[in-house]
Amino acid sequence: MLRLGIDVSGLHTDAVLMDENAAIVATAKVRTSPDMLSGIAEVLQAILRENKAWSSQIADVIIGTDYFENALREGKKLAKVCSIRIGQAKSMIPPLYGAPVRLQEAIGLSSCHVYGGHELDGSVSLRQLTRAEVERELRDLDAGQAEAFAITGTFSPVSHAHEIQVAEWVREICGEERPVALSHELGSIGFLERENATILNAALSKLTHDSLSGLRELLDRQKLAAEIFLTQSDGSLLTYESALRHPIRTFGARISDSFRGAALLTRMNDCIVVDVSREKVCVGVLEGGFPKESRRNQKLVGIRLNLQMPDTALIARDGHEAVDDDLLDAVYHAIQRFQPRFEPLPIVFVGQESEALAAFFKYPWSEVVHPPAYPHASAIGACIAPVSGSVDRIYWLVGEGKREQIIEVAKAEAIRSAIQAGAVPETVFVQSAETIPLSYMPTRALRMRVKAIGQRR
Amino acid sequence: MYLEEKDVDSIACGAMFLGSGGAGDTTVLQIMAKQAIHDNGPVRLLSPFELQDDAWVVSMSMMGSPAVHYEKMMSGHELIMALRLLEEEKQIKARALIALEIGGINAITPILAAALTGLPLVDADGMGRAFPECQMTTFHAFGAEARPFIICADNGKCQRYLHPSTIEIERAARISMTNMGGSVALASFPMTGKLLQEAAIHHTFSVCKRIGESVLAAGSSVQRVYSSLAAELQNSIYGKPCKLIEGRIVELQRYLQDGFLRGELLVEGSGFHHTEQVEIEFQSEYLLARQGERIVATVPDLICILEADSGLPLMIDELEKQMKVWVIAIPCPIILRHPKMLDFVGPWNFGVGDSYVPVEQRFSEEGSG
Repeated sequence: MLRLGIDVSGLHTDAVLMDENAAIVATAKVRTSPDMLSGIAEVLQAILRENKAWSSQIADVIIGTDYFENALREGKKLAKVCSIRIGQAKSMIPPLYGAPVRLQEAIGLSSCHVYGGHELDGSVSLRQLTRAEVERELRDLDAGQAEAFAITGTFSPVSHAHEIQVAEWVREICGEERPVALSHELGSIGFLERENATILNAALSKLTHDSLSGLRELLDRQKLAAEIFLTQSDGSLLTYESALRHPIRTFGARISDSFRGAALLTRMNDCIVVDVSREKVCVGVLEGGFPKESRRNQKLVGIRLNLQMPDTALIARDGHEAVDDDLLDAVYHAIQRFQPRFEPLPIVFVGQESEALAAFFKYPWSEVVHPPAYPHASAIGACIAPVSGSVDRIYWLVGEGKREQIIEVAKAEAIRSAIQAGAVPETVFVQSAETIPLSYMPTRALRMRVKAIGQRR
Repeated sequence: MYLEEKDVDSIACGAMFLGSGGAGDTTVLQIMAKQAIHDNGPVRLLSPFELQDDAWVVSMSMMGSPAVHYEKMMSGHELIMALRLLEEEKQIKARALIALEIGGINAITPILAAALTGLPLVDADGMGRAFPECQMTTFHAFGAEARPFIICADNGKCQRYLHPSTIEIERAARISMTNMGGSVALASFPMTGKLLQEAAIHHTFSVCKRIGESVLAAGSSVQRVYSSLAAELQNSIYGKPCKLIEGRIVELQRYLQDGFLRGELLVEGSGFHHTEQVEIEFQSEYLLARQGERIVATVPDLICILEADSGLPLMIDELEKQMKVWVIAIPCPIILRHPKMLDFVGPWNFGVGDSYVPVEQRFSEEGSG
């Protein structure tokens, strides 16, 4: 059984074929094509040219890419979006607040508000949701212009009933064919951030369809029966179907792939990774083989989001190819940010352009490693991507001493979702479990964030 | 003086420092206040001395959990409704608005309310920082009554409290606020100009704005942030800040106790502070800093944890192990050290220690031996 990892960056499409013992069988590299797909086709042909028999042995094709992230940065090929807010009060904050004008124009956002939504405990709010209001708002908006819908309801991470109801009505009123993004599938508590993610996801729907929907056919033409995955922000697998629906989940994936690839190449599960490309140097830390995630909300082109992205320090290179003292200094400081208190972690350099930097970098307190397969770290990380399941929800403590029980419930839920996503049950473990009490409120509500990880097959 | 859109950002930045680790992220209200100023024009900031003795002023704030506030989008109308109901109940007409607290979210709430109603905002507040409860205000300690105390939720539901005891009102309102969704607009403490001049902490908006301006101008360098902060604070109603330690968070515990967020953290020193450790206890805000057995700062003095990368203050829910930080203490305005105020905000009210010694005094003791 073989796995094919394909890393698609702005410049190169890099493929690595691995066997079940995680040994590299073959590699190939081509230039990335503007449509992404023909580059993938080309690299696939290059691999299969070496050995035709592989086509029947490849079980999984896993793609790691920042294609969708870049499309947003460039504001290209985006769908016109209609955003629907469900809540108790009409906010004066326009959706996608803070986005650059160019992106606003590309998305051509129209938006409306309908009463409805839920409370912290999941109950239905006072001002009721009605179909008549949804119909009226959509008619007033002339929603026919929109190519995709984004629906965000108050406390939908606690109860998503109203989002699903509105989505149903939208399909009945406006037809089945246009994609509808629902916020509870894309984010946690924090209305604006979740709404932003939902709108951006809807905006990417056209491009996702154009670039990814041909992928199955492409593999079929090459007689590959393999299952298709993408990698998501935390470096774990995203099924082909979810990727088609939730392209925003791929944001940050290439960096996570690269970090995990570095772990495999060096057999080190705890280390600092420095990923060097032409445009930037990205520094982060691996804890137990997984990139440490950022707790703070990120901003993407000025828009606030709450995705599970790796915590990284970025150093822009602005096309400077030379390694000078300033760069070495900046990298040193970025590394120090992640070094623990005792026993400094080893440092691993990976990435296409890491050679010069790794050669010049001196670090007196721990080992500096530059594995020979450094250019393929991201594709390798895609090959070995695990399956994850996560839960980020508000739970209610009922009675005394039930806290431990709630934690167990949340853990079980995360494990279940990892298994549903395709993990082998025996390999699933809880990677992190965090309880976040709400402040300034005498309540028994507790936010739990749990993530479970398992291996595929 | 008038507050314009850019001033909202400065005040929000300053209010992060005065929030002492709590009182919530201002982002949502900041956007709303800027939008309201954009639509309705700048907000007039009045010195307390510009008020007529008999002019009524009402305090505006948000009450509840910031986490709920980030999720429930409010319209701003909740604030207006609370204000109008208070005016109706007390049979008065508000001439100006005032802040309940100058820390975190509630530094921005009255700016939004002022921009929406066209009323001026008084350059003063009732806490000089952030505190979790309404009786922890100079308004209460120096003779103003909280009643009529009106809370309004996003769904249009309102509740009024007319009890003479602020503590009773605080207790009752916090429970029903939870049943009303967990985040409500609050209008309270109607005061005449004459009373306000005695019962409010003056010029905290100006100070907060200046702090924000100088910090934003300092860029993301913790050294520069600290020195500009010190320059602004030492000639204000606060005082020169003291740096307690620079280092790394090595231990962090957060838990729910009686429904409140409590916990402690340990910062291990580096550089000049190598071999030192500072332990910080918090409940909603940072309350106490201890170096070994010795207490170095307590509430009501302000404790801030600055992120070493940016120099910006970290809220309790943003803390993470391994973070590189500076811990600083800012002397609180002297009015908070008045015995009448210490009855409500002294460290014993929060279950940390039984006496209060001002931070600058603790610090000079250290200096002399």
